[in-house]
Amino acid sequence: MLNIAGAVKEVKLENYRIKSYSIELERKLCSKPGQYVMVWYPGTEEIPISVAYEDGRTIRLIIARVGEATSYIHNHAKRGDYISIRGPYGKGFTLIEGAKVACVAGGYGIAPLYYLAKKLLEKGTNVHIFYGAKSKEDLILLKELRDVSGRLFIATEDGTYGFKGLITDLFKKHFSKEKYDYVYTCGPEKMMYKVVSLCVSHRVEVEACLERYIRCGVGLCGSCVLDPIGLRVCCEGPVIKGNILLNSDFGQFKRDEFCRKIPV
Amino acid sequence: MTALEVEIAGLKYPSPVFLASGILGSSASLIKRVLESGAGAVVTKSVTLNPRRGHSTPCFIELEVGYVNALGLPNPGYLHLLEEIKHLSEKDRIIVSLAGSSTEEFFKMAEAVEETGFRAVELNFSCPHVKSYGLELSRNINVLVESIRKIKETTKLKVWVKLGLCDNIIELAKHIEKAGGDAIVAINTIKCVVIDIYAKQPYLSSIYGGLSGKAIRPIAVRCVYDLFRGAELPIIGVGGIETWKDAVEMFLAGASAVQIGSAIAKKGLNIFAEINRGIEKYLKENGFKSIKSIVGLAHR
Repeated sequence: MLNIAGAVKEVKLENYRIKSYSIELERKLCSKPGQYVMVWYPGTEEIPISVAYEDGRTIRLIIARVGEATSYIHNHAKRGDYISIRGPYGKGFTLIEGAKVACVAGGYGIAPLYYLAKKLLEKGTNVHIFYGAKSKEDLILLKELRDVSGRLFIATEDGTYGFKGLITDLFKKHFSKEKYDYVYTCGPEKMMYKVVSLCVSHRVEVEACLERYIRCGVGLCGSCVLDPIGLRVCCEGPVIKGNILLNSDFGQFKRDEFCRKIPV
Repeated sequence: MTALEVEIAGLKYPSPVFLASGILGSSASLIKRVLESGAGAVVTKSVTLNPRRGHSTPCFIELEVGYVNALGLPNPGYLHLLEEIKHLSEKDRIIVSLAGSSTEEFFKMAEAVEETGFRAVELNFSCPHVKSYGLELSRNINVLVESIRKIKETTKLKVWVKLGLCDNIIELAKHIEKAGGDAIVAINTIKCVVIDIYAKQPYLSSIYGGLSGKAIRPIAVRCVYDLFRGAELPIIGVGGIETWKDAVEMFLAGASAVQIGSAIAKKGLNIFAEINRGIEKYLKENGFKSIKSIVGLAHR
């Protein structure tokens, strides 16, 4: 097996529905921000999770309770437990050196962007982070985000923290005057669609990190296909450039476990 | 006619390198992209009468020697796939793979395939990890024979039959020949088990999976070699082919064409053009004018 054996080192409750897991691996993963791993905690299904940080042989995974497998992990995974990892898979974000960039995150989409911002900071890039959530209680990693960003903009839909409204509106307000060299986004697809459209129409390079139904991770089964261009998100993504995305079903359709097209 | 062109059961293909069933072939967009990448033909992912979710994950794993999958025939159902691919223009180069669990199911799906304008089907008698389908069903000679006979009697479809590794592959081939089948595709993944030594349990949710990739190639070559001696039908060789040399080996063993699957993970979709170029060069350098002239040459 080429899987990497791991042990849960620490479980941290980030908020009422998100936990982060530090996992010590038997060997280094060597991931790039935006890449993901297939995570199997015996007892439940194997799922794709973005890497949220890597340091030596330890990786951090930020897992929101969204379905059966993530709920099982939340309910059972504790310090010392075995966890199997395969990967890293996919293409990560392009790391731009010494520029001024924006990361636009929605919800738990903040996980890979936190990892990206940390790496960009090491390269002397000035990172502005835009981070939106439904409410104050949904926000995570605020201290860490402050440490890795030149500026941190926060929006909550109910106005309990920061700007009241959508993060895309807050981003739009700053976008024209800040003149970013590069933009990265991760979050709900409708939100990313707005960010990508705005950037592409102003000829600003943008990359989005997509979520799809992934089975194999290596580009064989076709479960994750992005139509009509036939792009395999599992290995040719999950990070994809904006101009490619706007020629696809991005923001409109994805495929389910039966390989049927369904609205995002 | 180019050197790469092959004819299987009266239908012509611009290259002898096809996409194997189960790989990427469940969406019009990927089928189109693979055809544009230089594949002579594409075999779709197997469809069943009703939609199937497939097995739960984990259903795929990478090994040092290849891959093990137990996807469990996930598909949207035959009508759904046909609806999605009916607008594609290269209908002669798309072979629809059918996974029935009875003669009636195979027949019902085949009729719809013909009505949609496709000209060939591949009957899946080889999937090693789904109960009552594929390899398990190939033990029921009656279903195998009657499915082929009924489709051949009622439609104009070319019928390829995909077999898996088994002790009686020659016997099955003879049955297929007698029933009117047009070609034999061999082999599918090989049934196996992978155990996670830390979890101390099988890795795959369905326990059994199918091994593909490099490791199975010599076994596939052996099956093709035996089939060439033991049966008359054209053979399409599948199993672990990664390079043009591997493809040429299959032709020499007796295959009239080959199918590519797992190697796409490592080499991407450029693999078709790459293998085409290599075969063409080999033919030229060795003084052959066609694929046909090297099929089974190792049997002299």
